[in-house]
Amino acid sequence: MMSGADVTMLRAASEATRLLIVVVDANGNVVRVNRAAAQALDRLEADCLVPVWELAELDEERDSLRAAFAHGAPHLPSELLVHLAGRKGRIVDWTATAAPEIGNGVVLLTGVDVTERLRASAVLRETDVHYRLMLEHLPAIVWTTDHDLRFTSSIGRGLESLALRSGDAASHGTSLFAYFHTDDETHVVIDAHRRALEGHSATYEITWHGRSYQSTVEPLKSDSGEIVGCVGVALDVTERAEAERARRESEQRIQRLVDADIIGIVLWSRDGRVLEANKTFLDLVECDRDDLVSGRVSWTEMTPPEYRELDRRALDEIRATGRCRPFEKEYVSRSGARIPVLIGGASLDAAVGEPPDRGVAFVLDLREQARLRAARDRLLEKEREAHGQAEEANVRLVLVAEAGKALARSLDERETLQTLAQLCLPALGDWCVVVRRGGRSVGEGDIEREEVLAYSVGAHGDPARRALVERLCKLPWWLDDVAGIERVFASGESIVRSDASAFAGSRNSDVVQIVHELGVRSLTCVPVRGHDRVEAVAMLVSATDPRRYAHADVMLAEQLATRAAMALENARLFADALAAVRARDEFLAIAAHELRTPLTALMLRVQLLRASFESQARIERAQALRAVSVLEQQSRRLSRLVDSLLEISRPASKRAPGATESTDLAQLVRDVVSTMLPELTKAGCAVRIETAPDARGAWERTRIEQLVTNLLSNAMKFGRGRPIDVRVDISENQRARLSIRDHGIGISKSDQARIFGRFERAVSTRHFGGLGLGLFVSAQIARAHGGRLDVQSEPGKGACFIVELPRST
Amino acid sequence: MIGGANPVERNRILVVDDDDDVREGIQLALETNGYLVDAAPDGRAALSWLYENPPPLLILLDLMMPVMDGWQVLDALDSDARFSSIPVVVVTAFRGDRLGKAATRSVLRKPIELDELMRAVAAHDHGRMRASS
Repeated sequence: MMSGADVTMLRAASEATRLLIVVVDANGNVVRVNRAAAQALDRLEADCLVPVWELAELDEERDSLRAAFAHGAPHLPSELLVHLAGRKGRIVDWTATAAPEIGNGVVLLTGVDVTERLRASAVLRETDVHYRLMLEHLPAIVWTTDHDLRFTSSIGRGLESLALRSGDAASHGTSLFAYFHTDDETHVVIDAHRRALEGHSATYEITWHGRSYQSTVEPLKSDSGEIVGCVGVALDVTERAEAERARRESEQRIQRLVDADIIGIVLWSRDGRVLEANKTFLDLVECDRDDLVSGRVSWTEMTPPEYRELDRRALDEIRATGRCRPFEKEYVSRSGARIPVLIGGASLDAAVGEPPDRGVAFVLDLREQARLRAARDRLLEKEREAHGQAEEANVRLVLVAEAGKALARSLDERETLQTLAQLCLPALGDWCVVVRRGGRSVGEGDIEREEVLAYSVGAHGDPARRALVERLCKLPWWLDDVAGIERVFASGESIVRSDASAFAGSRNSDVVQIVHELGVRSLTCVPVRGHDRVEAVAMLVSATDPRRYAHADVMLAEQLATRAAMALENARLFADALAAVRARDEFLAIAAHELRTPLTALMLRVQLLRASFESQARIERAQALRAVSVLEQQSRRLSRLVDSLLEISRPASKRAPGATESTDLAQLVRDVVSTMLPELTKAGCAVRIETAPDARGAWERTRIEQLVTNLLSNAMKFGRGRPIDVRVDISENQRARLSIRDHGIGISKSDQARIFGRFERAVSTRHFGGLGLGLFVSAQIARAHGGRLDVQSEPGKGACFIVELPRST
Repeated sequence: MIGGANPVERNRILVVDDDDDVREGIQLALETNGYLVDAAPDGRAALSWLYENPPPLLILLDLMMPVMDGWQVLDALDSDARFSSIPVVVVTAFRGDRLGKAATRSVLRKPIELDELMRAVAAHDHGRMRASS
């Protein structure tokens, strides 16, 4: 048993100690606690005298304590960690000791508050885990080997790329040789580890399982500094290598771009020099590397003046932003060709805001684009042109159709040409004049004659200036071959002139003055073509446009001229028809007149005779004879007229001689003169006859008589009562020749051409009678016999008609 | 002879025609009917006669004649006061339009009937010769 002193001492000790002391009886009831325990339990000592399990915080702690005391002989584990009830989070490490000295079944519990210690230990544990986690998440592989190059550990997220987990390689004790499938001591990995074992650090790069690693191997030393193995770190540099490769490829691509024949690259300096350029650029501007090296290539000199402003703006932009947006410009190549380019540039070294000293420029050859653009523009232009032409053609078609109608309305040639001039305006010029020149043939049958024509008509698009054109047309402005009109008349081809001097050749100052007022900048002359010659020329004039007349305009003018020519032909046919009708009317009137004249004489004589017979028982013989003689003369006159009429109505085919007989021309002439002697005498015309023998032929006698009679009648009619010389001889070409010469009024040259025409006469029908058929019929008769009838005459000096007839042998 | 310096010859007729046979025929017919007849073969000869003789009772005038035609004669007569009152009968083989201004005159159309001729002359004779014909 303990002494009181011992008890006191123990009590004091138990109260002083930081140990928690709890005494529990065999039933598990706390019978005593020291102060430290009561403080730890945060209750009064008396409050601590409860079943011991009630001092535990957690249910399982309480259950295990109750179980331990259930059978009176507690079996307690030697170490008992209990969370103290009422003191959350405080953990006490209890030691249970049986204390039979205190009582049967008494258990002494001594505890230490381990809360802080446990907490520190937990923190320590956590830190270890963090390191491990760090290593495990390291984007690398860390490993160690022993001297035999067997993996002793391996860790790091880098292992994932190799489908390994931390520790895999080490746990298998795999050697590097086995892992890298090699027994080569010079293998980069083996070699590095060997060197590490010798105390050197070694680095190497390796590509393994498709990934790139940069590795460093160091000697692994123990705390005492002894080399016990290797420690290696491998960094997965696949991405970086990839990036590097991409960079290299990119550089290669850029180099290829630089070298390729696609884009010109220029290193330029602000002073205008090209410092460096690729072949594409040099080829573009037709320079070579020697030019470049010698500094002869200047981008400012190659730039045409009109693009310098663009360049200046681009430099401004580079200064402001470091680069300039692409723009189009042109360079002039060495051979002087203009090269369209797209160019963009950037400053190389200057800070933004500073004027760039040097820069790079990218130059894209736009020639192909320009060519395509030009081709497209040309196509568009052509399309537009075609469209325009179609519309123009339509307008022209309408114009030509209208022209046809307008021209067809007129049957007068002057009016037709006037219409043509008006139709041409304003579509084909400012003013227009049409020259009618040359002549037209009139008449019919075997004899045609030429009517000489020369006049001009015109029109002006501006009514106020029409009078000027009319004044011009009153002048013979077409003389002096102005504007090449003669050439058009001669060749029938149109001409175009684009000069203001078309009328400069005119010697007529009035013409020059009027034309000056009308204005001439360009003109075209188109022919109005008849079936065998140019009938007229239309001159279309632009007073303002020096290039007014294109091919299409000339074509249109020619078409209008063709329509006018057709109208002209119609007008001519109409005029001819009118003339024929007039000539026939004239002939009928004259024929009637000529028939009535002898009829008058006849009827008066007959009625006088009748009156005489009625009023007188006897009529004087002489008076009666005289009357009968007159009747006979008038009858013969009528007969001759009828013959002439028959001759004229006889078709040309039947004018050949009928029954011919051998005829002596000299004798025939003498007979005719003899028959006509009374008339000749009355006219006061003596007839002198001179004949040669052998003027004999096989002729139709009555018609030759008619011929001679006609010629003698004419000589008598127009002979002014002077002698008529008749001569029969043989011509130089051995033909029978009859000449009948009068000394009368004569015939002008112009009349000589037409007097052989039907119904023609050189004199007015007011003065001279006759059918106007005499010479026509006579010429017909001569021709029908294979001969001819000619005239030689001058006005006032008489006329000589000469008949030549082939002789029979 | 009814006063005046140039009394009209009451029964003298001037026949102007270039055709001898016609002229002769007309002359004979008129003379047969008691007229005095002077003849001219063309206009100029007719005017010459008029200048030298008293105005005739009547002029019978052909149109188509050489030297000076009937129209010119009419113009000359109209423009001379001495002659403008002399009656004229145009005797022509023309018809219609071809007469021209001569159409305004008395016209005898060839071929003429004897009766016609005498009636035309008598119309200008105020009946004086009618009794004697």
